[in-house]
Amino acid sequence: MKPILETIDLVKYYGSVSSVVKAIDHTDLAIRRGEFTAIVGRSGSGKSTLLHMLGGLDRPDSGKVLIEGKDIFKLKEERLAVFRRRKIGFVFQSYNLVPSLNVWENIVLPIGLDGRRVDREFVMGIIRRIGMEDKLHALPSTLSGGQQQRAAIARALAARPAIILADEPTGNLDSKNELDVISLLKSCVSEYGQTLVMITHDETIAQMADRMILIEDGKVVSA
Amino acid sequence: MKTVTKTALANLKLNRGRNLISGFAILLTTLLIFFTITIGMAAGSVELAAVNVYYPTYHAMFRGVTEENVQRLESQNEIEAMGLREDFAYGVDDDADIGFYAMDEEGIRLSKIELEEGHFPREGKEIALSRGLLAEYGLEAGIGDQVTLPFQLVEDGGLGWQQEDTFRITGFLETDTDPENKAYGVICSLDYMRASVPAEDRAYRVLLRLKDTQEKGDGIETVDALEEKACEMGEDFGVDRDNVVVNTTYLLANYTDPGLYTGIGAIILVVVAAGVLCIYSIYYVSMVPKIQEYGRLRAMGATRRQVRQVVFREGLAVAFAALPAGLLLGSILARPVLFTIYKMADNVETAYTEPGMHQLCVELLEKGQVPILRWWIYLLTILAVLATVWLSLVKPMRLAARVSPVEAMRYQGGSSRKKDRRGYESLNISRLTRTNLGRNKRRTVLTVLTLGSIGILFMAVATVLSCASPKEIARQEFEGDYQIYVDSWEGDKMNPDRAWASLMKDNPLSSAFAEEVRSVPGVEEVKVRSWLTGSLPELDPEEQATTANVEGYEDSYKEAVLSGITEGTADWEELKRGEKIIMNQRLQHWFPELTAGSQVKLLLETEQGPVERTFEIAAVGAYPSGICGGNFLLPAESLARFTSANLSQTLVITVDKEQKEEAFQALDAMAQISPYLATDTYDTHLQTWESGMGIIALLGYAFLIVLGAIGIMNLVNTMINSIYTRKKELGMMQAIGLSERQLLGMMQMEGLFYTAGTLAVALGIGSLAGYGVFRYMKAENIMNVTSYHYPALPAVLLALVVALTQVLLTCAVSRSFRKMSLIDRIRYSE
Repeated sequence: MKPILETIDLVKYYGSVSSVVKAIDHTDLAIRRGEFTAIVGRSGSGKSTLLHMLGGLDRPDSGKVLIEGKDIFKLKEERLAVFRRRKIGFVFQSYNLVPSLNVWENIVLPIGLDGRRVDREFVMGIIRRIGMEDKLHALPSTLSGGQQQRAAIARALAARPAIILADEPTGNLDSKNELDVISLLKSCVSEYGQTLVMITHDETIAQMADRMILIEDGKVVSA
Repeated sequence: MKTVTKTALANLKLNRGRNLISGFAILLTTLLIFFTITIGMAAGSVELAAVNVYYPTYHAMFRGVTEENVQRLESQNEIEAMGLREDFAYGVDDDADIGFYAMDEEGIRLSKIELEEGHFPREGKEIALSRGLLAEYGLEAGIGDQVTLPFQLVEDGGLGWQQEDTFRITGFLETDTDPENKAYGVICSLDYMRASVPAEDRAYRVLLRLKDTQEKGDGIETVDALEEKACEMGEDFGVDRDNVVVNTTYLLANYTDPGLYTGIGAIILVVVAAGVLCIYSIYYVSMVPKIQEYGRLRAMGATRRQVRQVVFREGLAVAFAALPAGLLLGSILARPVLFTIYKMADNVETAYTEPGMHQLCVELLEKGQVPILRWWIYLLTILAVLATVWLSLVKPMRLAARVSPVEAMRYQGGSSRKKDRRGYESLNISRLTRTNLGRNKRRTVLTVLTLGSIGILFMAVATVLSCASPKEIARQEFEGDYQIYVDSWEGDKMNPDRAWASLMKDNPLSSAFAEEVRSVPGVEEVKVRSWLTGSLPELDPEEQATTANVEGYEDSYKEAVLSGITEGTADWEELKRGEKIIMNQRLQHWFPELTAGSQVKLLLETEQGPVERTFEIAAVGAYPSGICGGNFLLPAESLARFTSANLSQTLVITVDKEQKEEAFQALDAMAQISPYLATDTYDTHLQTWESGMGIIALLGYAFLIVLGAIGIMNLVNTMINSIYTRKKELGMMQAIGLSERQLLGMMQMEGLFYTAGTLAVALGIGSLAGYGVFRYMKAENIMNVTSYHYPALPAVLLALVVALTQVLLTCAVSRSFRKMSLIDRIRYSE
């Protein structure tokens, strides 16, 4: 099966010539549709940079990122933004909900930005799935960390992107919430047929993935 | 405390952007306050300096003082300076008046007599005279040459036999007494006078400057008080009241209107208010991202007081940098700015200003002879600016100190403790913008109001300037195109012939003269206005409040006079009978009890002496100064009942526009027949107001532009803050699909909101405020404003400038924002 997400000889260096930091060093990677991939590695190994490249948030020094066979960095900034919002959903460690919008608005925000109509049934399905149907009008500041992250996951799912990229989504949560959120994410992804790429440094969570990629000094050590 | 200061200084660097903006606002505030005081005060002191150069500087003159009393006066300690002059002889010539004066040095100094060349006579037969006088005598001579002059000594109140003497010229006078009327002076030495006039015949004129007993600067409390003081002193030395002459011109010119200080104070208050609003708003707006930091400080053990101090010291540090910069800039610019204003005012020279006076001011400024920068102005500015900064910081200080550590961590900006919101079913860019603006309604409203407040001021000033149309004002104060009038004034002991009661005996404005004026080619209409001076013997016996002059009108004025009536009714024919009178409304300012139906007793000055008469006030009317200069109005016929003398005071002349030049020339020439006639034209008034209003407009708008710049600092801060504090939020929204175009659109929409809000406040409230100011000015008769003109052009300009600033600002801010990579934005503050 053709990979949905692929990197070819991806390179991203930071710093000057004398003290160069090789965040991504000639990395080749292929992720298949519907797969749950965990990227693990020590702090500073280049996991987050890789994820940002995969999502088109940052541009590489060289190499390609192909999504469904399309080189995303050949797209102009404006087109890339549109492509991103249609194909990719992000879940960040620090939830990143818009404080002035309520839970419902936060969840439908990407759909609104894309100018699409909200499929209320579908979105409500997700919200029921995360167990927040009674918190639709709540503002983020009144929610607990776990609730905020669940809302953020719902936001990533609601626009029906093909790929979900999650950057340590449980980093700020206690262990009970952590497991809840991961199993929620995993089951949702499989339910809606999406591909999940998740950064974690938690061994237990990584074990739940279909596949684990270990990064060290910007290189894929084992996949 | 050291830690507090260190934290404050560290914050100073951290909040560089905000501090730069608030620093700039403080600098502008400093500049405005400094300029307001400096220019206001300098204008006063330049005039004063010019007055001192221009006018003789004595306060009062005693006439007819004996030699003995002169000696006694010298020992008076109430006298600051004293000069002597003795008019001891008159020159003999066919048609010129030549006075021989002996003066001492102080007398010469106080009389402001200047030499073109040489020195003043010191002894013996030395003299100083003008070259004009030599020419009059038909002589040619230089310094050191001897001339023989014929003269008659003053003896026993008359003149003695003609004699002549040979004098040596030591100096040439710069000016003549009155060359047009061939009046000249010869200054001799006191020696010569004493040798010629026996001690008992000498009657000195003593020029005095009195000491400042009330420490009021120039020894002048009020002209009246000084006159009283001089008269009292005169009595002690055998000088009766008639022989005490107060130098009114000098004293009046020296008088500083207390309104000037009120004006300066009011402007400073406005500036401080605007400064406080803006700097406060700058701090308040930038407080949101700082709240968590203050919370952390509190969590680490800082007391409320310490947090307050951190905020206060940071603000103060900015002020300490901006204040000297503002003062320095102000010091550098003060003189050129003042000079430019005076240069521009060059055209504003009218019948009301002394000719050459203005030029003198410019010269004094040019030569740097007037101190402009004074230490107390700096002190005052520093105090005002520190007060501004303190007032602006009070609220942010309190806000920062109130933050509890726990609250701070969750602080999202805004004081709303809302748990939920109804929200929208689906979102788009405009809804997102609306939500964001509504996030902190108070902050949004405050920003719009502070931005708009300067707009309100702008509109108010613009309304004043647009209502004060030079054409209308000139028309209000001048009737017709050209006027020839009898130039009379009352109470001048030196010139008793100028009193109206004296002039009416041989009035140069005879009916024959009026006919002659009518026959001048180009003259279309000539109207005659007559006049009687008077007072209110019962209401104001000392004439302290005002006069009760009556203006008389021909029948052609019937319509104009009757249409001005605001209270009561009057019948022209009935008025002619002389029992009823119309009162000018402005008299009610002093005597509000006088209304239609009241009885009023007038004391009218005629050539036969004062006549007392009680009138019934038939009506009260409001008249522009161009129509009525007096406080009462009557038909001319009625006025003529009081005296057989000719009461014609002004000829109001209308000319054909095509022949204006020629007609004016002819009329000018006709008015030359008598020294008591003077002329005035509508064009002069118009010109004065045009250039006068030009300067006022320029100053007004310049002031508003600087004030506007403070407002723009506020806007810049608001925009930067609203975007940079949401850096992470916006970055995240971009990650989930907000495109650059949508981001820019959102920023522009926010900007548009502030623009629309500012303009709504500025144009809405500003127009109302402007109309209010107009009503006030009309009621108080300020600048002769009569009709309302909406300042459409300034309003459009304001809208354009605000909109343009907004667009440019949005572009600049979003460009700088976009320079930061998306990743950095998302990571910001993590």
